[in-house]
Amino acid sequence: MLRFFLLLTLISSLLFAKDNYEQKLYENILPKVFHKNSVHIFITDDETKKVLNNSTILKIVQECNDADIVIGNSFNQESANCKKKPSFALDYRAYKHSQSAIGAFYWRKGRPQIAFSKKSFKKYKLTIPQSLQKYVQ
Amino acid sequence: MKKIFLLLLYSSFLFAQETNLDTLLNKIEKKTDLSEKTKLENGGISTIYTRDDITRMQARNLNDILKSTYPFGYNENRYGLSDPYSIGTNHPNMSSSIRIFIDNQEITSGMYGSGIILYGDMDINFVDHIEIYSGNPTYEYSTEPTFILIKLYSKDAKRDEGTKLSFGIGNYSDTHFYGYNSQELENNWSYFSYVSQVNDKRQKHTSDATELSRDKRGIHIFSSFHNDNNRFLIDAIKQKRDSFINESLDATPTSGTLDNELLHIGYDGNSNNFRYLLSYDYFHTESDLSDDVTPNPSINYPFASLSAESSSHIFSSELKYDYLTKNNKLVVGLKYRYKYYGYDKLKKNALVIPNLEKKGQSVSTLFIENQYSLKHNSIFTLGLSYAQVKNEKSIQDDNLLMYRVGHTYTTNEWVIKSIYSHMELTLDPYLVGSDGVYITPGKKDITKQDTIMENIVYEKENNKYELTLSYLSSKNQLMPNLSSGLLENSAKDIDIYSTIFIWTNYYNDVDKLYMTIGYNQVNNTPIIDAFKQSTATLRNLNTYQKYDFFNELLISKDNIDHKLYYDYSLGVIYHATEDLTLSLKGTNIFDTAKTSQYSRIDPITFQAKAPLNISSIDQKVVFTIEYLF
Repeated sequence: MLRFFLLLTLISSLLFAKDNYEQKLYENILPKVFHKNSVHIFITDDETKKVLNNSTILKIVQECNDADIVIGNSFNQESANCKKKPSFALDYRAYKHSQSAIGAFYWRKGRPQIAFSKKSFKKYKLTIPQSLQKYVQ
Repeated sequence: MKKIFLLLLYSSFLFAQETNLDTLLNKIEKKTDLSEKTKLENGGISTIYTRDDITRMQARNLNDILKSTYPFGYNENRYGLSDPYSIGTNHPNMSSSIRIFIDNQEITSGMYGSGIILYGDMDINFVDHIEIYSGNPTYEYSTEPTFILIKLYSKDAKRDEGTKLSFGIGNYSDTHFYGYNSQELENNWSYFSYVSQVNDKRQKHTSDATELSRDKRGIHIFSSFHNDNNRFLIDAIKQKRDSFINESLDATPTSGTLDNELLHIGYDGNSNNFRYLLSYDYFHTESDLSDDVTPNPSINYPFASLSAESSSHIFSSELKYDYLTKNNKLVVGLKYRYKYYGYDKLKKNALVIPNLEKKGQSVSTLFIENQYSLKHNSIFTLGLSYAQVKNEKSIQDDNLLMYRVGHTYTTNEWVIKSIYSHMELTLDPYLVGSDGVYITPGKKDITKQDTIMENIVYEKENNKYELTLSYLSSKNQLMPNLSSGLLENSAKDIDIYSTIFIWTNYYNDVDKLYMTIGYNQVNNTPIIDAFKQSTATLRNLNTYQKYDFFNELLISKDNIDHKLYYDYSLGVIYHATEDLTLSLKGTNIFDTAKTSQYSRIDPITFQAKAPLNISSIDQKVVFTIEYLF
C-alpha cells in the first residue's frame, strides 16, 4: 500500500512541482522569534510535518521537551510538556482560544494570513522582531 | 491592439518581486492548488483550473473555462442553452455524455440527461477549482455513461471563512451580484452558503431583421454543510431566459421564453472503506414560442405557437467499497438511479396534446475498478461497468457494457498515460418515444464508442510540455437525418482523430504562459466527408505589484467556411486593499470568435435557406467590484 501511495504522490509532485513557500515562511519567522539559526519544532499536524520535513533550519523533534515551539492545533490533547511550550497555531479559531499560541498561520477570506499575539510573546518572555510587528494583533 | 497585447505579454517578464513575508503569503496564495488533493491520478486525460487560474482569468461563468478546454470547447444550441456537441438542430441537448459534478455529487436533468444544459453557463463564484477529465475517465463517480467529467470543487470554510460581496456591470447594462458566507462550526463541521442574482443581458443578433435574444435573469443558491466524512449539498436555480431561435423554422421567432427551475439536494459520506451517496434532483422547464408563420393544417407545422411544460424527478443512490493492499487499489460499487419525467403541458399551434403521461427510466449500474502498481513507477488500471437501462412504456431497454484499460508510467521528468476504453450510450429520456419529433421511428441501437488515448507529459525546470493523441470510433452514433433533421443511427462509423500539444512556461514564481496547438478531424459526418478543425490557445497570467493581468487568444479554423476565428480576451484586476478588488475584463474584444451554425428553412417552401452563423461567446466588457468582510 505504501508503494502504491508513494507512486501516486510521485505522480502528483511531478505534475504539480512547486517551490515550498510554506517552508520558507516558517524559516523566515521562527529563527527571528527565537534569535536562533536553528529552531527545534514539535508538530502535531501531519500535513505541516510533510511541508517542513526537508528544512535545514527547522528541526522536527519527536518529544515536546526537546522543542522550542509546538506547531499544530489540538494542543489540549498533547502532553503536559507540550502545554508548557509556546505554540504556533494553524487555525484562526485555535489561535484565538489557545493560551499558548504566540502566533498563527491560517487561511481566512480565501488567502493565507499570519498573526502574532503580543500577550503570548510576553508570557514566554519573547520579543517580537521588528519585521513581524505589522502582523501583531 | 496587437502591439498592446505584446507589450502586456512582455511586461510579465520584466518585473521580479522581492521576498518578504507579504510576498511569501502572496506566493502561497497563488501556488496553493487543492486539486493536488482531489485529482484522480488515473482518471484519464485531465485539465485542471486552479483557484488562482480561475481568479486571474476572471472566469465567473463555466463557459469562460469551457471555451478553451480540450477537446470540445463551448457551444450553445437553438434555445441558447449550453450544448457543446450541438450541431444547430432543434434538439434540446446533444451533450449528455458531458456530466457536471459539484464535489462528489452529480447535478443532472431527468429529461435531458445531463446538468450541462443549465450549468454550462452557470456562475461559478462558489467554486475553488475545476477538474475536467476526458475519455470515459472513471466509473467511480458517474452513474451513467460519461465521456467528459467536469468536477467543480466548492469553496469551504477552512480557507474561505468570512463573507464576500461582489457586484458587476457590463456594457449591455447586464448586472451580476453574488455573495457568500462561510464559517467553521463546532466539532469540525462547517458551512458555505452562496447566492447569486444575474440580469445577464447579452449581445443581440438578427435573422432577417428579427432580433434574437439570449438574455437570462435568475437566482442561484448553493450551500454545503460538511465535516471530514460527511457532506450535504443544496443547489437551486431559478431562471427566466429568452429562448434565442427556439423551434422557429426560419429562425425568426416573434417571441420566445424559456423558464427553468433546478433543485439538487444530496448527501455523500464515507466510513471505513465504504463511500455512499443519496441525492434528489428536480428539473422543471416551461417554454413559449410565437412565430410569424402559417402552419400547414395537414401536418400542424411549422409552429406559429408552441407551449411546453415538463418536469423531472431523479433519485440517485450509490455504495462503493475501497479495498487497498500493498500494490493494489480495488473499488467496487453499485449505483441506482430512477428518473420520473415527462410533459405536464404541450400545445402545438392550436392543438393541445391530450393524455400526456409521465414516464420512468431506471439505471442500475455495477462497476469494478482496479489499479495495480506493477513497479515503483508504473500503474496498470482496469475498469468494468455494466448498466441496465429500463424505460417504462417503451421498447427502448438497453444493457450497457463498458470497460477501460490504462497504464501510467512515470519518471522524474516524464508521465506517460495510455488508455483504451469502450463506452456504450443509449437514448436520453427526452428522446425515448419522441419518434417523429426528435428521432426517426423505431428502436435505436446502442451507440458504441472505442477510444485510444496517449498522453505524454514532460516537465523540466519551469516548463511543462504535454502531448495528447486520441482516436475515437463511434458505431451507431445518433446523427441527424439530412432531410428530416431527426436523429437516427449513423450507417457509417464516425471516426474522430484528435491531437493537442500544450506548453506551459512558469516564467517566474507565480506567472505563467500557456500555449496549445490542436487538430481535430471527424470523418463520415452527415454533411461532409470529413470535418477538420485546427485550434490554438495563447494565455498569459501575470502579476505586477497590485495588478493581475490576463490575456487570452483563442484561434480556430475549420474546413466548412475556411475562416480564421480568434477570440481575444483581456482582464485586469486591481487589488486596492487586501479586501477590496476592482476588475475589468473584455471578452471576444474584436467580435471575431468562432461561430456556430443554425439551420434555417423557409416556412412556405420548406427549402433550406443560408444558415445563421452566431458565436456563443459575446463581445462584452464587465467591470466588477468585490469586497471581503
